[in-house]
Amino acid sequence: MKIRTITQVALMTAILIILGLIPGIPVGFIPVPIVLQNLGVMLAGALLGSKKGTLAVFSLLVLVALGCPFLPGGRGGIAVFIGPSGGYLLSYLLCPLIMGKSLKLFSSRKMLVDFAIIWIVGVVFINVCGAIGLTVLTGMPLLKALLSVLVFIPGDTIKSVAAVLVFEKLRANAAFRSSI
Amino acid sequence: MIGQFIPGRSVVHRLDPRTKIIATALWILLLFLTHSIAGFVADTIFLVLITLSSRIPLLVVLRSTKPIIPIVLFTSFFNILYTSGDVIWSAWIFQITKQGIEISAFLSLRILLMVMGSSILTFTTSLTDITSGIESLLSPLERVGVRITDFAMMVTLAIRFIPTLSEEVQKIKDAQRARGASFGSKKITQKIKEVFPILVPLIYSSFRRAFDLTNAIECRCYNQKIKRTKLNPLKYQKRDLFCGIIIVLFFSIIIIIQK
Repeated sequence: MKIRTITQVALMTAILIILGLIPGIPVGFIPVPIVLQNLGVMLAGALLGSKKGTLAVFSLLVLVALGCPFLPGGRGGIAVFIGPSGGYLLSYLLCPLIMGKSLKLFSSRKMLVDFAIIWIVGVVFINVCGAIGLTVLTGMPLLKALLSVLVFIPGDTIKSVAAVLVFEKLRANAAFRSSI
Repeated sequence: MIGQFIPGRSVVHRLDPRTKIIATALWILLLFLTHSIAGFVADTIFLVLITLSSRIPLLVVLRSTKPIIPIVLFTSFFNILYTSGDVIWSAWIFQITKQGIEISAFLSLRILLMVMGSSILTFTTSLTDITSGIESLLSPLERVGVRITDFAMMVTLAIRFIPTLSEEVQKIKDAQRARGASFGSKKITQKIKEVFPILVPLIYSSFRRAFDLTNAIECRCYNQKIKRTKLNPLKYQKRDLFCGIIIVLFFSIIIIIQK
């Protein structure tokens, strides 16, 4: 593994942690506050690609498993993996992998295509995994679980818009591209 | 201090982190092999003894289970109501069975004891030590191509840069505020726009920092092909052997008394 890979993954992991420490932003008509950490997960996949992005999220999850309070709300420890968020955490690991591959395959300088990829992988996929996690871990019927995660869709969609805009802005920057 | 480490000088604190990691793994295995009331009572006694010798307050250990209370209750609820067996009480479509209660109790106990045992590890071992311990224990995987050393380096660097990036966020925020940016607006579109002045420079400067760090590391002759030395190498002590024997004996006894 190149040293550059190590440092970039380390810094992205640190960014994911920072975003998790920022308190959730309450938004008027959305019932759940918007937390920025999964915005970081989307960006990890988009900016670093599938391999490095997955390593960054994996490092975050290892630290959380070791007891660090790096999830939104200061949650950490082995307990969160078998709690209601278990499915989400697993999908955080898969999200950069799929997103990195998809963007490489389909990205064509059209912002709408990039947004579609980021939305499908970063919002729909993550929430479906969250619902499946709820079903597996608590026995809640799948249909009910799917309905309950709908509450996160608006906030996550806003985050995917932000992610695609950040992604486009940074990708257009020549100095940034050369440092990847 | 990052993590959940509670400083202390107890015998548990002073054990080699590798001993504690292996013990925690065995503990989880033991819980899956426990399937009787006597077994769970013995497990609980063992956990209490470990907690007392680590001098971590019992209340702190109990509190570590707080995140999973909802899921334990929820799972218990379903198991009690939907397990077939000897009906104790029934109404409408619901029935409570003896087997359901038993399954729920054992499942709940297993999860709670697992979480509390894992918390003892994180309470008595610093994050740096845990990382070193895991790196050492997983080092045999290097022979099959898994880059354990590189991964340990990633985690260590990430931890090191958390305070640096926190400061960076604050500086960026202040700089943007000085230029007229307002944070804390009520409008939703404004809230989205607030993200960019912070996130774009943060990511950009982080990758510049990664670039500079790469050059600095290489200039200092870091090389993955060369076996590294360690500033604070881990060393087993007599107390690790002693505690290891106690743990193996105790776990063996629990398994035997359940046969």
